[in-house]
Amino acid sequence: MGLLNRLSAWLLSIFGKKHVRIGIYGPPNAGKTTLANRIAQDWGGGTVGEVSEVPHETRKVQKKGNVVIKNDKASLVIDIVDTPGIATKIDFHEFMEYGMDEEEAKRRAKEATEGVIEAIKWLDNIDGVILLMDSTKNPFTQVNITILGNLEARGLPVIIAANKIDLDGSTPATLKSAFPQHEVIPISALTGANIDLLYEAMVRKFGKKK
Amino acid sequence: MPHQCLKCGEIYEDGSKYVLEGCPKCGGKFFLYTRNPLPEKARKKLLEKIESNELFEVEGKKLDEIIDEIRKRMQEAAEEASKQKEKVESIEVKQMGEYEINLYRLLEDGSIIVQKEGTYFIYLPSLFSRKK
Ligand SMILES: [Zn+2]
Repeated sequence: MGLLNRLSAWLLSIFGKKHVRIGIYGPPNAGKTTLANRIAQDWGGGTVGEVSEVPHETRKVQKKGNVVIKNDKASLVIDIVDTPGIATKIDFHEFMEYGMDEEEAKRRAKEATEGVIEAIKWLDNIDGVILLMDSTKNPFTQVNITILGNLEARGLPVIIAANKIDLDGSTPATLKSAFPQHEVIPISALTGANIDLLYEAMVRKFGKKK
Repeated sequence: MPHQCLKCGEIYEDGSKYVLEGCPKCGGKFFLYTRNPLPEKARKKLLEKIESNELFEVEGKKLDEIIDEIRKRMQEAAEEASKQKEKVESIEVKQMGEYEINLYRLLEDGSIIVQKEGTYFIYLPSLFSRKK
């Protein structure tokens, strides 16, 4: 694919190394695992993790390593890093709504909290971030604003992907106006709609920074 | 990956086109993208949650009003976020299974300070050593 060749050439020249880690971050249930799987399938085959309707299902950082992008001059290895959902409050009652007993729900809540810590620790190992937001939800949250502020301070290149544009009530335009200084790409990780735009944005955005 | 219609439970091996068109069997609009189909109870629950989603709505019709509203909400969220700077702990344990996470502290500091009933515990970073 021409686009992927361009992407690999860009990333290779920009980062100056052969191994690039792209982290997918965002609040719980924004569709991070679905997007990680979509990227892994488009680029390398295979999946990263199981998708679930239960929030905080990804409680450990999951990495799809060695997604190889080749062109005639070079090859580039990308790791897609799927991270646990980042939240400011985690309450075991939420898990009990999904039919878990109290003990299991409390264990899950603890793991989800450790997942937030792990996701944040992983930022040190990441070369670029796709911040995934749910375009059917209020974007003005502590989570979104605190993460964005910190990514800016770290100088990490970031793309905001406004996910779930396939759902009624999705308002990606609001996300665009909410974060005018950032690149906001409306996508559906589920259906793949606009996913090419995301790849192009990765070329542009991760390309400019370093 | 298969898609399951949340309304009737029908599973489509390649259901991606139905996501836009609706389920051919029941007209349902919401699909779960999963290898593990859900039982009816869980589907109902999830469907309710999706349909009752608090949608983001901006009041007012004029562009100025919309921009003002966005600014206001942004300001509120930023103020809320900056309150976290005043706290020293990165995690507060309200009770077992209930946690409040200070993202600002976690993102800014390397150490992890857990507060439980007024007592502070400092976690060594090695406890959370990362896997490569
Ligand atoms: Zn159906």
